[in-house]
Amino acid sequence: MIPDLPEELETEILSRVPAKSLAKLKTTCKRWYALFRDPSFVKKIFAKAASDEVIILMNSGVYSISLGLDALQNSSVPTTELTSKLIRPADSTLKIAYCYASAEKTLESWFGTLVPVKPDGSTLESVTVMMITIPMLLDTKTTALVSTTTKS
Amino acid sequence: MSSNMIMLKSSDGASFEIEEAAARKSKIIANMIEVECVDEDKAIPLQNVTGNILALVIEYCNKHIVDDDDDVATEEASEEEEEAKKKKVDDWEAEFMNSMSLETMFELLLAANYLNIKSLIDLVCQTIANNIKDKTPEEVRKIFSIENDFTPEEEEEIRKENAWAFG
Repeated sequence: MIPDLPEELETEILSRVPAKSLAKLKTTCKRWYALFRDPSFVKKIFAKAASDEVIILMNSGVYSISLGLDALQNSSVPTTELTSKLIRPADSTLKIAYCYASAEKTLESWFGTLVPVKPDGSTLESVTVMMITIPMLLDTKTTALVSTTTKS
Repeated sequence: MSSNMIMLKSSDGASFEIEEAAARKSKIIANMIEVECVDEDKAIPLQNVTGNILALVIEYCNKHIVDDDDDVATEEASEEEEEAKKKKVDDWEAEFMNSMSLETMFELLLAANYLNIKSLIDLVCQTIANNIKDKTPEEVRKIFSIENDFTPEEEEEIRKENAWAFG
């Protein structure tokens, strides 16, 4: 249908396709397969991910993490550390941030209420969090999309 | 609001009159106006845009110039009003995109890119993305004129990488 679409427009379109759909489309051709693993493309997806981004629930695994909330505010990459499994998934409305989880842990998709823990052990107000791992887009399984809404 | 009118001419020779303020949605045309290479008596020739696509571009620009004016006029609009207005624009955009085929969307995208109308590029890209997200690789290859360069074995291997994503 469109034989001569400039590559930058193709990338613009694909970066708006939900990660779950991209996972299915990675067998389209070698060029796309490589593109979906390109860190700059993945970063673009994170930046564009809409608030209604479809969650990928791999299983019912839900984890709590501690999250560097300061980083959220100045829009740099927050630090996270997986700590333990949470029990209850929760509804959430979303804003987007993204983070890297600690490399030793294998992430699964999770979705739940998060109580951030400050270094001194005290807790901040809870945030609702959704995280999608997109290992099919990356060689490392540890990059994840985290969405949070601070409950006031 | 009164505004200068300018003429645009499509690749197939159709002429369109458009308010300057609407035409400025296109960075390319805005630049031409800035450097005063727009002659009021002459149409600006747009060699890469056909008449039917240019008509869509103009429809979009006309719609959005009104919205921009509103923004200025109602700086102190309440949150509800803002939301209602945004919804109106969203509804209009949804209707606008809904009225065209996928092929037309791609042509519109190329035109928006050529004319450098960022918000229209965003709108069309998002609509095409929504359109292909539930399609199979085979269907998407047809849309983007892509050859499958994987062997069946390679394809199977990649599919196995994360079988759960296909659930």
